[in-house]
Amino acid sequence: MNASEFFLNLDRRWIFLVIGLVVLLPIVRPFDLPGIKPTDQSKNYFDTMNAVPEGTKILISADFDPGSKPELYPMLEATLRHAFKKKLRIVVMTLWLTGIGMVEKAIKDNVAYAKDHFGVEPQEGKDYVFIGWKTGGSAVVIGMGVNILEMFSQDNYGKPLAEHPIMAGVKSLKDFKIVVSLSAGTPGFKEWVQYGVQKNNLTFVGGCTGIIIPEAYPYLQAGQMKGVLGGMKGAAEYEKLLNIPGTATGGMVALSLAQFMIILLVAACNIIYIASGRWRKP
Amino acid sequence: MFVKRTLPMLVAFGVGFAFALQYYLPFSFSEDALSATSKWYSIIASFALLLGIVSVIQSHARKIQTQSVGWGYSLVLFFAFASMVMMGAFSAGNAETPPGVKGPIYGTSYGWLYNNAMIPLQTTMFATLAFYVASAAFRAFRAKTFGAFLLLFFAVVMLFGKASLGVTLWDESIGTIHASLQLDRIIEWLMGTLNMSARRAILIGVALGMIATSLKIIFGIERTYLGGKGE
Repeated sequence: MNASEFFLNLDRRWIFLVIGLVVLLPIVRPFDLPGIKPTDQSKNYFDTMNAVPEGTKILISADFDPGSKPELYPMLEATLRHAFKKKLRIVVMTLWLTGIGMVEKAIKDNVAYAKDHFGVEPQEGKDYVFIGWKTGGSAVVIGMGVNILEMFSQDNYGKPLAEHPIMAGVKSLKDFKIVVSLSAGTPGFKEWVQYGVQKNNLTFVGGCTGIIIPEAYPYLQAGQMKGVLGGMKGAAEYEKLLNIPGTATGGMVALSLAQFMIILLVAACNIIYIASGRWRKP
Repeated sequence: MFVKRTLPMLVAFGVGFAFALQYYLPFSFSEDALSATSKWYSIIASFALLLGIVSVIQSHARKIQTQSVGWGYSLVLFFAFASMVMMGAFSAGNAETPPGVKGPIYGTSYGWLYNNAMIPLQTTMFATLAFYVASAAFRAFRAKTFGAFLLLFFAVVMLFGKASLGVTLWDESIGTIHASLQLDRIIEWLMGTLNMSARRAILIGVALGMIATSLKIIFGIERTYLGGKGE
């Protein structure tokens, strides 16, 4: 076997080793890479959140599970930080059962972050509330478009939702200035757009994993989504716009290096493939 | 015959017709009906969850009973399942101590298990995809034909666009030739024009298919949901 044959039939374990080393490098020896440049979609997400005045009520639906945590959890954290910094009033929920624990942690950590960094003390029930999870996906969105308190009679901890001051004057989705869905699949932003946004004329922004971002484009062009954060890159861009570096900014180094290594491997493979004259053979 | 076939078809016709009409009726009784049925749907969906749990238990119990290949993993499943249920019940399903209640700073015991077992396990499973994607890209992206070359070219452009380092390198080199060659503009065109036209066609096709199937169910033409051969 000559060198070109060896490379073209490279054992995949060598590729696994190279990718593993490349991802490990920035973890063992942290370093920065050239800047993150926010796209128009990330700017639109940021601008929509930034445009609303203090005290505005918004709804955040964290529709993901631990499998998508590296991409979507930084978006949730950055969105909560942005909202707390602007003193918005937040209702948080999830359409994914396995997402509840992450949402609880994100709220707890970022309430503490807001106290330490923005000098605000968000009060549970008055400034934010976590209403938990409800099974049904699209049916939950439809139900919330009619009456939220009928769909969620209690918050995540069993306290009647109507007793929270933040819910005063909130009947349906129409009473939120912005609805946000951070989505890893179904149910997610598609259900929100199809069953919530159009019927209730909502201002809607979303975030999603890198793999499903193409699905968001029809809704973006139709104006049903005002902006979208795509994958870890989108989260890092939002962190940059907020000027609050988080885990996505750090993760982009490992992601960039791994993607570059894939580009290099593919390029090398094609150069050797063409140089060996195989592409001419039928 | 009436209970098994005619009655379900009448229910499907009545409910299907009523809720197709409901969308266009801006009255309170119409909204109330929608709210009520959304709750019914949630209740039915929670039974599906229960059904899933029973099915998993039955399937893995059978594996242990017959000691088929990999039955040890089924034991691990039962142990993990029981641990999460017990800890969940003990912590009232909360991963963190409820606001305003004094408790351990690290959260509840269920939260500890969730944060230190479930999250790392699920993220690890997802992260292994990176290795398989790299290996698959290495083998699949070979310019054997013109079509394969196009796939390779656009895949590399997208890869550049999804890495901040790639964006910087592209914009500092190719992007300096003309503003329209900036990477974010190229990506936006690829996603907003090429990808979108195909995706919209699929979406419209799926929507038309859903409408056609719904009408067939409402009018009793499609009867396979009743079981049997659909006759």
